[in-house]
Amino acid sequence: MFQASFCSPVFYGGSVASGWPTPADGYLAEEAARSMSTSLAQFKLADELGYDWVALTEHHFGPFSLTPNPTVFAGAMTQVVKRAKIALLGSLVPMLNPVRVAEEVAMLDTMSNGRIVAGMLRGTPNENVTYNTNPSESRSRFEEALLLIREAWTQPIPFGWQGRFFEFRAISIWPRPVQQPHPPIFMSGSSPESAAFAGRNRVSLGLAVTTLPLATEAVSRYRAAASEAGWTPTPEHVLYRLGFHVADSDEQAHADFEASHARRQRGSPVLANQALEATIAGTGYYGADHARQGDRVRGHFELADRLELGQIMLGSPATVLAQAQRIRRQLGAGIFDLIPAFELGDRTLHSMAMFASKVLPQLRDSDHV
Amino acid sequence: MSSLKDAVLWLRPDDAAGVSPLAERLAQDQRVVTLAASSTDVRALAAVSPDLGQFVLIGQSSGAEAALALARAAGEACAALILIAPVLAPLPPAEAAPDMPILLLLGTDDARVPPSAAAALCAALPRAHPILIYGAGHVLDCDRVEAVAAVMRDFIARRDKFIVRDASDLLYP
Repeated sequence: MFQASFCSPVFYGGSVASGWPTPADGYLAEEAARSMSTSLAQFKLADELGYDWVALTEHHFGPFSLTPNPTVFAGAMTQVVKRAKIALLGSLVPMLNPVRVAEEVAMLDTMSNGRIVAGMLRGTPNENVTYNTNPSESRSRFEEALLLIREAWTQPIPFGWQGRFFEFRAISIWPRPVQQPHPPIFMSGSSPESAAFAGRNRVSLGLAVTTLPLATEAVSRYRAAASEAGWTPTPEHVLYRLGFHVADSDEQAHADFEASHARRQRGSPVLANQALEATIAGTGYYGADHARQGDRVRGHFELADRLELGQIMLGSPATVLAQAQRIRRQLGAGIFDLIPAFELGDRTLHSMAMFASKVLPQLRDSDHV
Repeated sequence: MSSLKDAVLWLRPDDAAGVSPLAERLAQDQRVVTLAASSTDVRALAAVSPDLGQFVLIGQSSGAEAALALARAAGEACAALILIAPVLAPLPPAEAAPDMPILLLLGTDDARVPPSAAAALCAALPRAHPILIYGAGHVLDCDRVEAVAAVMRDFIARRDKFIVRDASDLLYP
């Protein structure tokens, strides 16, 4: 059945406009605390409204989302979110100790009684600076880390790992995941290399910071790779992340959008330091399809373009339902990861509720359309 | 073959061709003797092995069975055993396992002896340390020569103690 994921990277105060890594001179502890409690309240509400998942991201060194370690925040969520799955979208595994990630996710899976979705990502290009990793090795490190984590979850005896980037003499994690053989793994699959790896290794696909045409290509590459590996992905294997805002009418939704522009925007941690982004692009980080993959994160579009490109859904429930159906049909995606297009307090809460009550049931009912 | 003292004796599958690049790598440090597992030399060795001086024994793929037999026959002369993607069917009972440090190497891409075989192999060989060689298939000694050589050398030098890292992580003094 169609599933909706609610992703809430709320933060107040600070802006990446002053660059990345962002200096802390404008940092306000109270604002950070309020951001976290607001996020937690929104996740709780999403759970009560019937969203299937709630989702977290990992970002570093700036006021973009305040979850440099999403597993810490997810630990709190296991006690507040009673029903929905809790998705880490994701852990930046090339930069982390994969054994530690396997342990933390298994802990969360135990604390939530088997409700964790383990997203694993390479991180935005700039984030290679965070723990001093070489962006040109990011993909190889990612692939090895993912397979090592999966082995740590499933291998019943202590084992060693002689990798290319990771070396361990004995691994035997406790606790073990509740979900067997292991929590579902999602990875970003926008590039041809990622889609091929995901298909080959039976990993679910997540598509974010992209456009509907590019995502459609990626899904088709994924299906081809899966088919070569002898299996067929279902819609539940494909997640698409996009912005959303639902209001009582189209006019109100657009008025909300205009109002949000009067406020400070989140900005992009990738674009906050363009010299850094260019340096990382020069290492081969983006892979064979670099021109288009780089444009995914560099793209600036007007609202009309963003609607057309499937980056955002905006309008009345009927309008958003039509937008959602178009994207879903074209992609064959069974999970939407929804980020509030902008933070407008009560109107954002209203948008969440409208989507859950007036759009989501129709999407679920039309599974066979 | 007068003595195997401090040598590595490697029993390869009978169909293994040419010189293993891993054997060349190991030979930089010590004497490496490779034999086809079912050769008459191996059977002859079993009789005299207790007097050959301490050696480390490697059994690879279908050579693993002969290596286990030789390890049992050699007793203390065989200081340690290394099994590379061992094909053992049926698995010997744990009571028959050689009582010595054992390094068990399995490739993550090996369809013949996959990582999922590690648990059963270790139940049959209670002293085995399983190490997964990432990205290697059944022919581990050709697929990731440096990675396999590094862990083997460490094990040959330090036996069971190899699970404790002794290489320095100090970046700058």
